[in-house]
This record gives sequence, C-alpha cells and structure tokens, in this order.
Amino acid sequence: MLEEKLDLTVLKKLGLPINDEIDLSLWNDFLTRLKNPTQTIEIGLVGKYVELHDAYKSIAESIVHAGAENSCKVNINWIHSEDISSSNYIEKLSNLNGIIVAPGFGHRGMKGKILAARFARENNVPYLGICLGMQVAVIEFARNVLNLEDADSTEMSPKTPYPVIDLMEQQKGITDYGGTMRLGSYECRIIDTNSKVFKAYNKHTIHERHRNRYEFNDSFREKYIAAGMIPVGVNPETDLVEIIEIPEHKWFVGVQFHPEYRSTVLNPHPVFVDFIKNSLVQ
Amino acid sequence: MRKLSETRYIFVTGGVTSSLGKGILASSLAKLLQSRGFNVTIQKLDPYINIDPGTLNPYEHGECFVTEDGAETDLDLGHYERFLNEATSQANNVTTGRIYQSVISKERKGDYLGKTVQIIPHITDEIKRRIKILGSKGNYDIVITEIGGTVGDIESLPYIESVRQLKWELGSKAMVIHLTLVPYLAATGELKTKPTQHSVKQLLEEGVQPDILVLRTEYDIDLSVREKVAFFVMWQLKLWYNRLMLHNLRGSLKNA
Repeated sequence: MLEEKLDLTVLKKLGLPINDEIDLSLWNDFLTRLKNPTQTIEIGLVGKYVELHDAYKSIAESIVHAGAENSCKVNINWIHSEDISSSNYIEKLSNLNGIIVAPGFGHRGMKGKILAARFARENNVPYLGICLGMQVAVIEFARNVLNLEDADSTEMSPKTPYPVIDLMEQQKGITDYGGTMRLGSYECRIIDTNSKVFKAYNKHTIHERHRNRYEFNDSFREKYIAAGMIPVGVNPETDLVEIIEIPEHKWFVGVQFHPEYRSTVLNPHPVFVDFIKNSLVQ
Repeated sequence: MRKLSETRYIFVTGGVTSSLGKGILASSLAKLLQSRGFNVTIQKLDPYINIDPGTLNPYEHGECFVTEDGAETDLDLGHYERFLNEATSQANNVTTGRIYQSVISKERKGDYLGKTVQIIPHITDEIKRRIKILGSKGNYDIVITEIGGTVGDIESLPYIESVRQLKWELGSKAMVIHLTLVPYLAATGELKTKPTQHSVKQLLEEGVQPDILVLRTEYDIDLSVREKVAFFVMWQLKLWYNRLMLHNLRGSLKNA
C-alpha cells in the first residue's frame, strides 16, 4: 500500500500538502519483533464461540502484540469449552504454556471453563481469566478449595447455596438487554503492591473497560483471602472486586474488566505482556 | 488538535461482496496518513436496524468492541484503535437503528414542525450530521468513514445518498474510495472484471462516482486489466491498486 502510494494519491486528491516524511519506525520495530521470534509457545483460548475467531478478535490481537513484545511467537489453541470434559481435560490442556478463559455469558460451556481453571491452578500453568474467565476461576476456587459444594454464579444457577458471583446492585430491576450492562471505562485501584498486576502496570490507579452485569460477591471476600485467592484490585467508589490473584501460583490472574480492548500495536497491554512473559519456556 | 482549517472526508464503500477488507483498507490508509503527520479518525456506519451490536450473537457478527465511553460497537473499531493507537467513541460507530431512533424521537418531540418525515431529507440529514460530528469537534484533519454492507443493498441506499450529497456540499474536501473484487476463473485462467464493472455502475446509478478504485484479487493485475476496468467504469484512468497493495498491506500491517 505504501509502495503503491495510496496515501499520496489521497492527499493529492484532497489538495493536502505532502511535506512530512512518513514515520513508521515504531510500527516497523513491532514488525521486526513479530517476524523474528526467539521461541514459540502454545496458549489455550477457551471459549464457547471459538469456531468464529472474530468473536475473540481483540484477545487474539492482544496476544499477538504481547508475543511480539516478548519476541515470542504465540500459537493460539482455540479450545471449545464444550469439548472439555472431566475425562479429557488433562489430555486436552497439558501441552499448553498458558491458558486464557474468555469472556462470555450464559451457562453453556461453563463446565469446561471451570475444568480449565482448575487445571491451570493445580498444575501451576499461567492463567488469565477475563470477565467471565475471572468469575470461572472464583467459582472453581469455591468448589474445590473452599469446599463450597455447588457454589456458582447466580447468572448460571439462581438458587445456588453459595452465590460467589452475583448480580451487581445497580443491575437489579433492569429488564432490557440492550445497552444496560456496566459499560466503558472505570477506575480501578491496585491495593496490593506485591501483586503480579501491580508489577505489570507499575501503577496504583488504572482505567479499564467493562462489559458485565455480575460481580464477585463481597460477602465471601474473607474466606477467599484466608484460602489464598486475593482480591488485589478494586473499584475505589464501589469497592467492587476487579482483579483476583493467587500469590502462591506462578501467574494466576482474573480480571473483571476487558484488557483486550486497550491493547494496541504501539502499546501492548501490560496484563497480556506479563501473562505471555510468564508463559515463556524458561 | 486539527492542523488543517477544515476537516477532509474520505468515504470507503464496498462492492461485489462483503468481507473484502474495507476495515483493513480504511485502517491501513488511516495509519499511513497518520504517519505523515495528520490527525485521523475512522468511523463505521452499519446499515442494520439494531441500535448497537451489543445484543448481536457473536457467531453472526464477531466480537462486540467496547469503547472508553461505554459504547458497544462493531469489532472494526478495535482495528481502528489498534492501528491508530487512539481511542474511539460512540460517535465512531453509527447504525441505521440509531439514526432512525433519533429521527423518530425528534419527530415525537415536534422538532420537524409538522412536516412529513422522509428518508430524504430527514434520514439523510441525520446521517450527514453523524458523519460531520467527528469533524466538527476540531480534533481531526481527516475523517475516514467506512460504509458497511455492499453497494446495491437496499439497506445502504440512504448512506450512499448521503455520501452523494456530502460530495456535492464539500467538493474537493471529500472523496470516495470503492473496494471491489476481481475474481480469478481457473477454468479460463482469467481475472474477471465484470463484477467490478457492475458494482461501479451501481454506484454511478446511485449518483456517486468513485475517485479511487481498490481492486482485491488473488493474482497480480496487469496493465491490460487495469485499462479494461478504466475503459468500462471510469472516465479517466486514475490510479490502481491491486493484489500487491492488499498483499503488502496484509504483509506489513497484518496482525495489527
């Protein structure tokens, strides 16, 4: 496109001056790193729409950005959450250097997602849970570590005895589906400076984009902290838990927000960069 | 901040089929213009009646991209942000549903003073207003507006008509880039230009003459093919972009 001078034709056509030298150096740096990886890793992306890769476009692109930043080629293993069962999950997931459980809604594929979180937690495999992926990690931890049988999100089972994920207060009473979620950029304070995310961002206050109705149920917070899953990032106004981590684990992070919306070629997202960095084969 | 005294508008339309890569074309062009020092933004007009893609099944439409200001938008806005390294907003994604919603609510408020509310001028005026919002903010030298869908669709008619009016109003400050397909027939070993001819003819029937054609093909387009397209569809031989361009663009700007 540059060779065919489309940009110059356009500028001429619009009667605009062509004086600035084109500066694509940062862009080309990215391409150089992208094209000269020093190693290859396998990342599993678990979701229920994996047949259509465009359904996870921003996540896939964020992985590419973060891979290039680490001079690493990342093969995305697209794993359908409904294909994971208790009889095959070890076989399906054991070749992976890291696991991402993708955002989503509804109960379809939840079982497989929970198994993926469990596998990552038990085998010290780097785990990034995004939105529902964080909630899945919270539910898995409740069932298998806190021994709260049938713990769930009220989105999936409204009558669960342990609603560790629940509808946000502000969402109660909303009946329309369109445009009624918690949407857009919100502030998040990282309260634990020993956390992985604090090291990744190197900041106390971050802004990230949201798209959710359900949240971590705060009444369980103490139980989680006691057992080793720590809320490390909260919304400063509402105290909603936005980030959870397992400090004992190599890299186990769940984020209620969507870091993938903010990753760009020139600014790869710190959460993805740190996740890939920790998934590298040492 | 804008450097130019007035914003320029580039419209990107598509012919023959969807999924030709209008979004990638718009993003790449924007990136090049940005690299030459202009402040550029990209807008997507989606000709469906949903207010936004928030409630669309991801199988049908891919990811729903969320902007800083909380708009649920088309996944192409993600490409724009990743390429340009700049945030977009609700104003960067407009659907037919949103256009009609605001026209109907104005009608209910009595803003049209008893007039009969029609596609022309009321819907087209609303479309033009939405296109010009980004320019009127004073931040952008160039606004690239991608018209979703394919020329000839009933859904996209009001958008093409709005482009026609804007070209007339803005003169040399607006231009149209039309992206089409030049398929290769293995049986005869030929690149076929007929779909492009028909698609440009359709655009001309709707009153819009493209300033630049971008041809997407699987093979290199030689001069004779270019001349043939020029002969059939354009009054003057302008510049031509072929697979090489899309190839380079994918090669150099891919995965971004």
